[in-house]
Parts: sequence; structure tokens; C-alpha cells
Amino acid sequence: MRASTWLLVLIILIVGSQLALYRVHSRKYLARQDAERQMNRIVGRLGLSDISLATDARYVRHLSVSDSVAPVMDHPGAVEHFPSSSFVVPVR
Amino acid sequence: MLLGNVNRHLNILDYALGSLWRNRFKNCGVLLVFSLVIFIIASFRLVTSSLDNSAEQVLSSVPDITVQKMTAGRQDVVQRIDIAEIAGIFGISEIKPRIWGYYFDELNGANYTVIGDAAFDAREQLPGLAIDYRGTYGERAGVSPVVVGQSIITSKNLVVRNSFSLFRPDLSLKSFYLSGVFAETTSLVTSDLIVMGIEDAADLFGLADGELTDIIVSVANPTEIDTVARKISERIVGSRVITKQQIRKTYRAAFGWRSGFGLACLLGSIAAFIIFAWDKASGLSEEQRREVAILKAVGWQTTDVMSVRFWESVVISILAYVLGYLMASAHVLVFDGLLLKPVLLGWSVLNPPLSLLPVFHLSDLLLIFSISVLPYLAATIMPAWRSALVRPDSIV
Repeated sequence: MRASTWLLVLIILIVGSQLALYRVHSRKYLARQDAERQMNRIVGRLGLSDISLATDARYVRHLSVSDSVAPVMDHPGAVEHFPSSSFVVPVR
Repeated sequence: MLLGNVNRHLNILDYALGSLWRNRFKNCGVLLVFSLVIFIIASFRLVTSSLDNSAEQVLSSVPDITVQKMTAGRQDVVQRIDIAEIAGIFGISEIKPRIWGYYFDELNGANYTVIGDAAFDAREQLPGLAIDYRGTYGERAGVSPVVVGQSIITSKNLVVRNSFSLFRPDLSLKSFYLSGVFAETTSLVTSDLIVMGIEDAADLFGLADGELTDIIVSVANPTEIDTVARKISERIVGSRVITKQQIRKTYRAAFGWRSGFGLACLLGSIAAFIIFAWDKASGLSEEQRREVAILKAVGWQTTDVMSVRFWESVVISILAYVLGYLMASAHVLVFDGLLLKPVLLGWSVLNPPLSLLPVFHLSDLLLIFSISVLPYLAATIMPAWRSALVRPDSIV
């Protein structure tokens, strides 16, 4: 077999695996629908404003209702130091 | 003519693959590092797209307007009498007082979000919200019912017991019994929640009678939200009014390339790319020069040699691209972003079960392609041209 045919087989295998992952994705998506409806009801009923990911800093836990200066307002000259906040862009 | 051209390039590709195989250890190393760079960028993008999408879907029912009060640049309590100030605004369909805040558990260093709900009823708590009710077992005078998220169960070790206490500001204890647990599937919004009656929350936080943390306002007509928000801010002095639109806007922009971690991923990829480019441009080895000289001596043209080098770069970069993206997809879909989770959660003591469902956008594929494959191909043009200029008589 030619070397280029081997390359083609390899690429087909990788792309095939990617397509298999898309199937995992669609199954996960279907399973998620019900949970999203429930979460929507909870958010509406309790008036929640944010998703619960990092809980180390209050301004990361509640991004949308925090001040943009909250990370540096604990005392004069304070600097931001929580690692989880490096994942989010400052709220404007 | 076309078929002949295709055949010619297939032959050159075969030769390029043979050439790559002869230096397989070096080329496998390059492929591995390049794949890892693409894996990191793609993983970051898939995780953030998943969070963006989840926030968009889940937070579609956030309150129309949240009213808070600011004093000296910090959030302060709102007075219950402020509700009367805004009750007359035309267009408001419902006003709900609320007390919520953070409780730092000194025993384990965890932060909980405590929500005091005005309509929380000990007998008929929050129906239809995927809560596993435990009944009123444990109910007795002075012990209040709560519904908690999954992380609280682990953190407060509520698997074997159903009551616990939290400290008031004056360090006296307030006792609670567990009347329900939010389903694990809803952890994205409930993981760290302790939901209780509004009076219990006021008691826990030591708030005076009539003090609230915020007021939730529903507006009958969504197009009037901004107008109602403006009127509220005029009637309550020093208020901060947050609309549904602002909350959604925050999450649309929150997880982006401009975040520190996004920049770190980009800078890392650029650094790795510079190393590749340097490796490619740092001159030809003696063996490569001899190979080119022999090829030219047997009749190969400069364009043919450049084609070989071009195909080598294409094979490496395309393979690295599809392999890196495949690994990133598996990382996020199957392993729920296992490697990025520690960065995402930072120093959080609570560890919410995170189920990521990325959104695959063609634009992301093109973006990652353009910041990885294209620069690599561009960086190999010069070395390819230099290698093709080797004269046969200089070596042979």
C-alpha cells in the first residue's frame, strides 16, 4: 500500500473518532434537556442570577451582580489573587 | 492533464511521507508538541463555549429586575419600605423581597450561598423544582427547614445526619434540619445553595426587622424593563438596578479570550509556534542538504523540492490539528474538562459535579486553524525555499 493511502486511512480514523464523539455529544445533549428545564424553573422561582462554578470569591460566584471593582476593594492597595477569576473577563 | 498533476503530487506526497518516516523520532516529537498546543487552545475554547451556552440556556429565566442598594461604593441593605416606593410604578407585575448572602464555613473553608425565600413553606416547599424531599423528620421548635445543593451534602456530611447548625454574627448557633436536596442534574445552579425561609435568613445574618438584601421585580411587558428600571433607580436613592439584559450580557462576554487564562493559552501557543518556526528556520542539517543535492542531481527541479517540503509541513500540521482537536473534544465531552477544572474552580472548597456540553462552531475550527496551521505553513516557506536552492555540486 502507498504511504499516502496509509495517511488517508489514519485521517479517516481520526475524523471517524471525532464523529463518534459527536454522537456522544448528541446523547449528552438529549439527556441535558430535562435538567435544563428544571434549572430554568429553579432560576425563575428563586430569582437566581448566576451559575454556580467557583465559590472561592463572591464576585466570581455571582459575576452579574458584583461590582467591577469588587476584586480590589477589600482594602486600599488590594490586588486580585483568586485563580478562578483568571477564567473570566472583568464585568463592565 | 489534471490527473497527471494529481499523480505527480501524490508521488511527491509519498516521497514526503517517506522523508518524514526517516526522521520519525524528530517528526513525532514535533507532531506531539504541536498537537498539545492545539489541544490546549481547543480545550479552552470548548470549555468556555460550553459554559457560555449553559449560562445562556439556564439563565434565560433570571429576574427581570434586581434592585440593590449601594452605600459608600459597597452593597448595602434595602429597606422593606422601599417596596412601597416602587409598588406604584406602572408595568410592574410582581415584587418579591429577598435576603441572600454568603456564609463562610470556618470548619472547612467553604463558601455557601444562603437564599432566604419569602414563599418558602416548611410543609410544601418549592414544588416542581427537582427536589428530593426528606419530609419533616427533625422538625421541632427552633429548628428551621432548609433545602440544600449537592455540594452542601458532602461539605456538611449530611449523608448520615439530617440536621446541622450555622453561626449567627454574634456566634450563637442557629439550627436547621434538612428537608430536601436539589437533584444532582441541577448542580450548575444549585450546587452551593442553602435555601430557607426569609425570616430564617434574616435571623442567620443578623439583619434588623425590615432589612432586605435585594428586591426582585417582574415586569409584565419585556419591552418596558429598561423604562421600569430607570423609574426604580429614580425612586430609590442610591439604588443599583440590574436588568435581565445586563445579566445575560455579562455571561455572553464573561468567558473570553481576553480572560487571563485565555491569554495564557494564546501566549503558550504563540511561544510553541516560535519554537517550531525557529526549529524549521535554523538551517538545514548535513543529511538534508545531501538529500536535496542528490534529488537535484537526478533531475528534480527546485519547485519539486519545495513541494516535498510543503507537503511535509501540511502533513504534520493537518495531523496535529485533527489529533489535537480530537483530544480536546474527548477531554471536554468524555472527561468534562478534567485538566481545566482545577483552574476553573480555583481555590473553591466545594467541588460541584461539572457536566460540560460544548458547542461546536465552524468559526472556532477556523479560528484554531488560522492561529496554528497557517502560521506553521508560513514559517516553513523560507526554509523550504532555502533547502531547494542547494546546488548538486556543493555536496556530491
